[in-house]
Amino acid sequence: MNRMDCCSTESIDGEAKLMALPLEGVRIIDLTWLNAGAKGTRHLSTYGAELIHLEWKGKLDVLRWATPFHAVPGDENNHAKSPNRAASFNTNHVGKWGVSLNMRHPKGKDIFRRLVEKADVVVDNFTASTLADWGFGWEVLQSIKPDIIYLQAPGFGRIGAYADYRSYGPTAAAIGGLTWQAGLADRPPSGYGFSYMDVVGPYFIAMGVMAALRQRNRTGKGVYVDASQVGPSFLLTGSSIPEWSATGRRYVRTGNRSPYIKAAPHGAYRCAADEEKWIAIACYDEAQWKALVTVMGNPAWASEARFATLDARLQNQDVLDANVGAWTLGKDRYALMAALQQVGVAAGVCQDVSDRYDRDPQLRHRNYFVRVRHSEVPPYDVESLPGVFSETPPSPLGTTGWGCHTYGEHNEQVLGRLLGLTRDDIEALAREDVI
Amino acid sequence: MNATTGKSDKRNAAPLALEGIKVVEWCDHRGEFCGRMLSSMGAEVVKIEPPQGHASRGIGPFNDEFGGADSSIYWWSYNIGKKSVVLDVAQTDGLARLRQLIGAADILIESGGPGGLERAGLAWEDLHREFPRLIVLSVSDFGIDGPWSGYTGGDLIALATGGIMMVSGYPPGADGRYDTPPIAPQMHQSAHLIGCLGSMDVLAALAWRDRSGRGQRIDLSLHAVVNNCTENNLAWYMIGKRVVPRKPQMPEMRARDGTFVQVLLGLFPGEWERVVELLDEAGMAEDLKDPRYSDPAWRGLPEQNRHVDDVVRRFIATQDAEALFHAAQKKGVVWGPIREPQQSIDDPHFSTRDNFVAVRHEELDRDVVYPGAPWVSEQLGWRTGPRAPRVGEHTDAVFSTWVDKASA
Repeated sequence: MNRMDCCSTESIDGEAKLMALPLEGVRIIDLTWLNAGAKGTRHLSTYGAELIHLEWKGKLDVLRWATPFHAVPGDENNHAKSPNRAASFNTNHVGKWGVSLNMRHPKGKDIFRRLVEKADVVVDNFTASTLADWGFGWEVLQSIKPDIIYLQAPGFGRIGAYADYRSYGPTAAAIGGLTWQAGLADRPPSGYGFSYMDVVGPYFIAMGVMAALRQRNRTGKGVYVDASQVGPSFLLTGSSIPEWSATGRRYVRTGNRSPYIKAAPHGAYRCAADEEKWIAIACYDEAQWKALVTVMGNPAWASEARFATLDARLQNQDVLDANVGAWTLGKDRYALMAALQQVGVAAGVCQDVSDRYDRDPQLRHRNYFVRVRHSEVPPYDVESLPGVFSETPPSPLGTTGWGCHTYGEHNEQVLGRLLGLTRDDIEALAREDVI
Repeated sequence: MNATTGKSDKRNAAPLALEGIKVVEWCDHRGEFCGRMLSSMGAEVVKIEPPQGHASRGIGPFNDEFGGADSSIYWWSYNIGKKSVVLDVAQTDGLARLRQLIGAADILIESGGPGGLERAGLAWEDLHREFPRLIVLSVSDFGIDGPWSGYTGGDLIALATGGIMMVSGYPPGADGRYDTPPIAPQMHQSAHLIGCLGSMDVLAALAWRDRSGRGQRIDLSLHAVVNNCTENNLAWYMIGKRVVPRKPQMPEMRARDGTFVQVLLGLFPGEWERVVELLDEAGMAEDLKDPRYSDPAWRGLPEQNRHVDDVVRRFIATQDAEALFHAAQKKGVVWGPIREPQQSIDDPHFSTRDNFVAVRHEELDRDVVYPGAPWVSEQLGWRTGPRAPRVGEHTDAVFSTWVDKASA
C-alpha cells in the first residue's frame, strides 16, 4: 500500500509544510501525562508527527503544578494561579497542539470519536482500564477506524496479574533490577538519582508507535500494543538474567569499576576538596595507562610491580584509585580532561547541569538546545533529540513551530480545521463544560 | 520456569515490523544493543566478525561450562537473534565482500568514529551515491564532528559527561560533605541508550525512505544520548536555575526479610493519605495522622522529612517486602521491592507478558533465560532468539541469499 493513501494528509494549520520529516502526515491523539508518557509522544512530534494533546481541567497532569516554574517578569509569584508555567510540563509537551476535552461528557465523547476517525494513532499511559471505562477500548477504537493504532502504556501493562498496580519511574527501576545493580559493593544499592524509566519507557513508546505504523502500512490493518513502564526495564539489566539462568551466579555491584570490559583505573576522581568537582578516567589498555603515567609526571608509585599490568592494576584498585585521586585533587577538571584526551586517555568531566548547558562545547556544536516560544512565559530552551540526521534533521518544534501549549490553546484551530466547528460551536461547548 | 506460560498462539505468530529488513552490523560493543533491538523487531541482522572472532566475545561474564569464543554471556546477551559472517576487512577481498553485503542491506550500523568510514574506503558520500536507499547509523563516543569528536570515551566517560553520574550516588554526611564519588550505574547503560535512540532513529529513517526512496546517515554519540537521559534535570536548570544534587534513588528502607524497598511518599493528591492508612492499619502511623503532614510543603521540610522517613522505616522493618508490595499496591500506594533482575522470572505477571523467554542453547543441551518482550501485541511481535551465533556460522548462507541469489 502506498503510505500516503493511508495517512491523514490535511494538516491542522492548513498550510503546506516546508519541512520534510519522517513522520510528516501522521496524526496522533495524545492522552499521555507525566514524564513516563508525555516524553514518548514528544519524540514522535520531533520526528514530524502531528500531536493533538488532550487534557481536562478536572484531572490535570500534576506536572502542570510541579516546581520549578518559569519566571515571568512583572508577575513573578503568580505561578500558583496558572497551570501554564511549570518547567517539566512545558518541556514534555513542546511541539504539540493542545486541546481541552471532557471525556466524561457525551459531547466530549462525540468529539473524541470524530478525532479518532481522522487520526492514525491513539496513545495513553493512564491506568490500564481508563480509556475502556470512558467507552474507548481497543475494540471500540477499531470500530471507529479499522486501521487505527492504539498503544497504551500503564505502569505494569494491561494484561497480567498487576494490571491494576501502578508504577512511577523509581518503582519500575526497583522491580526491574536496575536499582539493585547500581552502587558500591559494600553499601546498599544507590540506584539512579532520577527516574531512569521515565526516560527509557518513553523511548519504547516512541519505538512501539513507529514499529506499529510500519506494520499498519504493510498490512493495512490496525495495531494494538499493550506496553508498560516496567516491561522494558529487564532489557537494561545487561547479562545478569542469562548469567543467573546459565550459571546460578547473582549480580554483584562494583561501584564505578569495570569488571566486564576490563579497565583500571576506572572511576571518578576528586578535583576539588571543598566542591563537588570530579573527573572520570578510564584506562582500557597499556597504551592508555602509560599515557596517564606520563601526564601524571611519572610518579614513583606508578612503576611499582602491583601496577605493572592491567591484571595487576585490577587486583590493586583501591590503592590505584587513592593514588590517582590524590593526583587529580586541586586540578582544573576541563584542563585535565583536555590534557588526558590529548594523549588518548579516556577522560571526561563529571558534568552537572550547569556544565552541560553552560560549558559543554560538543552539545552546542550539535545544536542540542533549541529556543522555543510560549504564550504566557518568556522564550525558553528545550532539548532536541541527540541524533544528527543528514537528510531529515529532527524538528524540536514539532508541527506547531511553537513551544508548549497553554491549557486549551489550540481548541479553535484543531476543532475548527479538523471537525469544522465554528467559533460559536466552540464557545457553546466551553459553556457546557465539554472543552 | 516455563517460559511459554500465558503465550497465546496469536501472540506467538504476531508479525514482526522489520521483517525483510537487512542490517549489516559492522561495529564494536557500543552498537550491539541497537542491533539486538532491530533483530527483536524482525530485522535480519548480520554481525561482521574478523576471522579470530569479534572483540565482544572477550567481554565477561563467562559461562564456565563452555569454553572458548562462545562462552561470553555478554556476547550471548547482546548478539542474540543475529547471524555471524566472517570477513577479513583488512584484506582487499574482505572489504569487497563487505561492500557487497552493504549494497544488499537496508541499514549499516558502524562505529568507526570520525573519518572511520573514509579510512576503510567506505566514505558515506560514496556509499550514498552507490546505494541511495542505504541508511547508515554511525555510533561513536562524541560524534563524527565537533570540538570533542576526536576524544575517546566509553561507558564511564559517557555517563560522566552526560550528567547521569553527577546526580547519582549516596547522600552526603551530616557535615554536608560527600564521602563517596558520583556513581555510574553499571551494565553498559550508555550502549542501551544508544540502542534505544538508534532504533528510534532507524525507524524514523525507514519511514522517510518509504516516502522518499532516500536513505541517510545518522550520527549518534554516547555523549549525546546520555545527555538526553536525565529526566527533567536540564529543563529545571534552563528554566528554573535549579541544580539537582547527587542522591540515591530512595531513602534506605529495609524490610524484615532483608530486602530493600522503594518507597514514594505522595506525588499525586490523595497518595499521602493512603500511605498513612497503610501504616495505621499496622498501628504504626505514630503521629503522621496529624493533619499538618497532609501539606506536602510542611512535610517536605528537612526535619519533618527525616521524621516521616524514620516512621516509614520502622514500619517497613516489620514487613516482608513482597507481601508489602501487594498490600501497598492494592491500597494505591506505589511502592515496590528492590528486586534482583532474576527475581522477576518466576513472577506470573511477567511470564504472562513474555518478559522472560527461554532460548535453546543446543551446545549446552539446555535452555537459557533472557529478558524478552517490552510489549504484548497480537499485531506487533517481538522476537527473542535464536541464541547468539558462533564465529562465521552464517557466512555462506548469508552470501548465498543476500548476494548470489540477488544477482542470479
